[in-house]
Amino acid sequence: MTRLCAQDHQRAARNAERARREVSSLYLERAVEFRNYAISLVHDEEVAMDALQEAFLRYFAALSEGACIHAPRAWIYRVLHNYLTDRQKEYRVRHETSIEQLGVPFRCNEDMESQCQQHELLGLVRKTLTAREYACFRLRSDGFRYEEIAAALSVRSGTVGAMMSRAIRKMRVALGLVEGDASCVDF
Amino acid sequence: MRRLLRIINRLRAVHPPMEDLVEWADGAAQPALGHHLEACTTCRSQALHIRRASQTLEAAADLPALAVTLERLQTRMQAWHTVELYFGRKAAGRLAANSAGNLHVIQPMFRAFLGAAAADALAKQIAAVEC
Repeated sequence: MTRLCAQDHQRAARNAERARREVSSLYLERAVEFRNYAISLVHDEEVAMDALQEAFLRYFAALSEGACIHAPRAWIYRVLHNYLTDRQKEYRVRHETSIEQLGVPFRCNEDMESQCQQHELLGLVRKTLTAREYACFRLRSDGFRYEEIAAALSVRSGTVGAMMSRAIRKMRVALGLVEGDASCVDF
Repeated sequence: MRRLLRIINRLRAVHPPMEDLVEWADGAAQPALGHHLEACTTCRSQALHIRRASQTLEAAADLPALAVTLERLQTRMQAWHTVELYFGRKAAGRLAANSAGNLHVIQPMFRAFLGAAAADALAKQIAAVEC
């Protein structure tokens, strides 16, 4: 029994050592990439670094348990994505405030009004633009460059530019803006 | 029946696995995935985020926060291994999931197995990486 325990300990130590080596090697090779991905999702370096640490620790735990991970890079991306999505959900739930808790009726009305306006605007954008134009519009507002959008939609970047200007023209008409006002919008 | 369900699921517009998105981000041509990305905003955005992250030119040495994170990670891996040895994988897994929350609960167990000094040292080590 004692011998079996000693063997188990030795095996666990060997697995942990191998896992530690693999984790460190992947971290040194790809940490910048994963960090940038996490930051692009949450726009907060501290949260991104926490997520990075958690993802790698889970990778270590999985390897120590003998899991066979064929594509570690994709595995880390998946864990990072799920972890950050969960954290964002948790944050939203924790900071959800009821109308009674707010206690500032005037501000509350203001917020509700602005939310309604935003909702209406989004509805108008969806109704006015075609699916492709809306996709362009959304990706551009997420901060992607024309070349990146073009690659994702399998079109040339000139086409993206054309779709964007068409979308802006349609939105000007839909919002009833005069030519001079709307030309300030820079995408 | 299961096989049939699997085929039906495949025929439905299911999101591609992360492995495929990473391959696409690296430039591998996959016509089926390309069609999905044209139609699915969520996957498209995710694939583009991966592509942008992987095309970065920054070096790890330029980001001191990465070195700090690696140091913390190594400490946590060591702590995980110690806990696994004495309390088993399940406990180590729980510790990995939420070390700060469980620390006050497991510290007495550390003491029982490791002795007061070693238990305090281990608890301090875990607490330090949480700060």
